[in-house]
Amino acid sequence: MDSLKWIVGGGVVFLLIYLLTPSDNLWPALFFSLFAGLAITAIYYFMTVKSREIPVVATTLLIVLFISAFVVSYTLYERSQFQSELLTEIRSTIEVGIMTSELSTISLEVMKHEGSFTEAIKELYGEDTESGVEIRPFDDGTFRVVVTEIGEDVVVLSAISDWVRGRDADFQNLDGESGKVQTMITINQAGAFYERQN
Amino acid sequence: MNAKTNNFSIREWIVSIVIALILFFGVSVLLNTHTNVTNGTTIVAPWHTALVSSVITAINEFGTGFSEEVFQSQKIIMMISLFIFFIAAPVLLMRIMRKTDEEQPAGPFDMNWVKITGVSLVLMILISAFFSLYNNLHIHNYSKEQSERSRLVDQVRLEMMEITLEIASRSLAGDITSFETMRRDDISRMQRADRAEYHLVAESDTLLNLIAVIPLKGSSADFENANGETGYVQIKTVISPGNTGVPVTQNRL
Repeated sequence: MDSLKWIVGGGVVFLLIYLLTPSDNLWPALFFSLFAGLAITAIYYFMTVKSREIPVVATTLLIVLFISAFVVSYTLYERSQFQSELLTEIRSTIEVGIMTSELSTISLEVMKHEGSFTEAIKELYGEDTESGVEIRPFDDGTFRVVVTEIGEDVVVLSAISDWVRGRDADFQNLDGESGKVQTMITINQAGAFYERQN
Repeated sequence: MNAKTNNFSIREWIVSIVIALILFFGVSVLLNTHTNVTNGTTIVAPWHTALVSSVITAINEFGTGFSEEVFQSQKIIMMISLFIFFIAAPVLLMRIMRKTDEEQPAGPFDMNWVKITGVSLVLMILISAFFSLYNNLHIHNYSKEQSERSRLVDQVRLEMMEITLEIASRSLAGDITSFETMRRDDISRMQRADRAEYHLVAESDTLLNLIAVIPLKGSSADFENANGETGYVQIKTVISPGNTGVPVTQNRL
């Protein structure tokens, strides 16, 4: 009966952990439960059962059990972090590739145009186009292209992703948010020059 | 029990290990629907449940940018598993292994089957941990190495898009008048690049091949690379004034 109380008590602790931890990430629940299991087992060991009554084999098994559980959990946690970061990086690489292609097309169109860059931009994207105007609205759910600077001899365009995370989580994007992929292209008399900003 | 009351004989150990193995693989085969047998099922490998859930979250973010709470059932299974193996099993193990002065009856084959059950349960989760670690060591290291290789190829591909834009736009601006007279040093980004060996091969005044040889062995060992060597990954793109081509992999990873 004494053991049963401990098991039921442990069950209540686990139920609380289950209720208090989020479901979109199970790692906190796993680690809290392992710590709770270790604490309950240790307290039971030292308080309820006199240690001299427990055979060495049982003590050894329990130590190995918890050590291996923590080692394997932490190892797999690291693996999950690696896989998560890898997927994020693959997604940002795809985003940057599409942005580069899109910005290349726009900048070559501008350069091929007769007259100044200002005239080219206004003719291609409307008379109202000026600094801060979106020339490629965010319609397909990936990124928008904004005119950052416009002049007779220079045009700067920026592409800002809607949600794909970039390299630096603290990077301030032009749309006021932070951490998203952002690239920039500078078109001047010498050519078009691309730069990944985040 | 008999004189062995407080000890666990070699025979009982062997039986416990065999039972733990049978239980582990039995449960794995019977309940396993998502993972391979050596990964264990979610019920005998709670850490695997957490791993799978975080990978699914990452995949959701990959596709939509949002993570969703879709893991209630996995969470319940994980918590039950953790409760069985890290609360019930340790407490019961201590309870049944406790030395007593009372003689306990020996079970069939002169073995204490209650103790064997407790030890088997703990061994079962240890076997699961062992397989998870073993898998992680082999699969994870391999995938890590592969992703490093793929990352390099992706970076070169992006770099080529930037270089082709520079060449195409500069030729349009009149800064580059003929592709036939171009040299590596003419392109600023190529001077900075150390991920690949770039080659410019002009087909005419207005048609240029930009070729990147990446220092990674490709799928075709006989492929002749632009630098005279064989078997390395190679990407090529064709450029004309005002037009950037799409990088095409000629010898893939």
